[in-house]
Amino acid sequence: MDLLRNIKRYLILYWIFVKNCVISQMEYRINFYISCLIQLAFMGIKVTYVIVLYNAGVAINGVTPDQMMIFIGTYSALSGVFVSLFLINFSSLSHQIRTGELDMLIVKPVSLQFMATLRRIDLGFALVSVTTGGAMIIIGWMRAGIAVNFINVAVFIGFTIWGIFLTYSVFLIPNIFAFWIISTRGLSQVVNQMWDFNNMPMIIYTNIIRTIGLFVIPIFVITNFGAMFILDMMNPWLILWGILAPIVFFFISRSFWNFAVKRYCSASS
Amino acid sequence: MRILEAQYKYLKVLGIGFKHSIEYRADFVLGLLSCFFPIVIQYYLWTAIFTHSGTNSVFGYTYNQMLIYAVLAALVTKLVSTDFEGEVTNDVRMGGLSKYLVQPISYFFYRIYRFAGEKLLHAMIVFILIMGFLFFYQVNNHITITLSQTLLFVLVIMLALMLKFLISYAVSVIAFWIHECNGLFLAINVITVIISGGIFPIDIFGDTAVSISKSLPFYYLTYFPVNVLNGKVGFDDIYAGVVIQLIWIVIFMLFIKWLWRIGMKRYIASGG
Repeated sequence: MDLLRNIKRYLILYWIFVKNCVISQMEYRINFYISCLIQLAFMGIKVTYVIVLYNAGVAINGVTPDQMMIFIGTYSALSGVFVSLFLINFSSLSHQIRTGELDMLIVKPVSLQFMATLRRIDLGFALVSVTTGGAMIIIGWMRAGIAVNFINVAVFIGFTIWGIFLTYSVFLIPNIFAFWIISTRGLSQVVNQMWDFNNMPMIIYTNIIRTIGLFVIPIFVITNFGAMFILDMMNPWLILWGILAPIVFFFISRSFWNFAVKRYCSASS
Repeated sequence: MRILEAQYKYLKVLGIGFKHSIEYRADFVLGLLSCFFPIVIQYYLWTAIFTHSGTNSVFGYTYNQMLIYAVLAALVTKLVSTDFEGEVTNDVRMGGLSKYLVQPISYFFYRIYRFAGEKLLHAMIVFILIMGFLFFYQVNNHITITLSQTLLFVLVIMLALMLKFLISYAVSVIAFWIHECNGLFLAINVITVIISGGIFPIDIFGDTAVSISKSLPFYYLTYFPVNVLNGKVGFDDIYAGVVIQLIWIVIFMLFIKWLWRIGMKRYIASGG
């Protein structure tokens, strides 16, 4: 009962964050358009991968370009969501630790992790990427002739949303090192680059990379499982892992955060 | 005598740029490291495509040429990248530009010498990396890259740097009209990378795209230099390409002169 009430409370709080950010974005509209423009430019890079696949016209390990577009579409859609919801918070974490701004958040009567890692939302990136990525998914889905039934759609969307949850934990962990090394720019740059491995379906990689990407740094789980399910490429064990991984990694990131916060000693003043 | 003095002044600026790049060397090296993952992804992508296509050439490239392209394009893109647009914006917005207007120094020459100084170190690093990679590749895969190709590459890359400087300098004039334009510059730079072949060779967009882009300046930033070294461009085409590069450089110089004259009229020298 307590847990449910807490969840409800945080959902309301998150909704207020969203509202606040939208209001401030409407005030500075130009910034919003610029976010959209930046994301649009980066979508261009993702689309070039699709162009390569189509113009080469090769099926890789039995996966046709149409089917691969579903993978790339999922990746494209989520990459903007990642920036909109998480990255803008994560990248300011080290700044908050360095300057001691985190003090202000610690004294608030809500979870520090929640405040520090989810407070800001910039919907411009997500808007563009979900629209274009979504279009890629739908076109790929239709052209590949995959059945549009309730199970396929529900599981695909389910895995994708569950993947967003996993994204949060996986990419938060390296940023927590900011409590020790203060400047995480180099580190998170490298980690964020790993995200781009999803630009291609995981079938093109070797077994070692696939295993690492599934179980050690589970980036492949995020954007591959939904598409793999509708293409009948999943086995029950993978489905189970797809459901469990976000929970497991959330607990890891949560305990690591709690461990790290003890290192915080408030800079300045 | 006066010419010598003028030269001396700008050589100092060149020195400042060089020192700046030495001070921030870690930034550039980290940036180079960030090329690593995209190259790995491309390696697997091309390996998969070439294994399953059953032909020796995809988009007119052999497997080796494609891999060389991927590595070289990533390095060259990093080399010809510019980030002084933000500094120009600051100068325009905060009034820093005023000090160049009242002193006997041209802002354009200040910027270009500074850019040259900064790129000196970057060019050396990238050149050593490219040569190391090609030497390693040559030993293991029996490809040949001749000395004349290498020398032409150096010439072409210098012109490409010049051209990219001029393009960015022309773009940064936007600062006179729009105040928050760093995001805009980022978007423009990303699109420039795509259409200059910084990620994939332009050939993936089809033959028409290649022939159209031959007459555009972007073709000569990454695609052309890389393919000079890759052996995809014949010697006659290289000379023709160098001529077009020079033509674009002249066009952009005139264009900049005109653009900045209009922009300057809007400059209000705000700030201290």
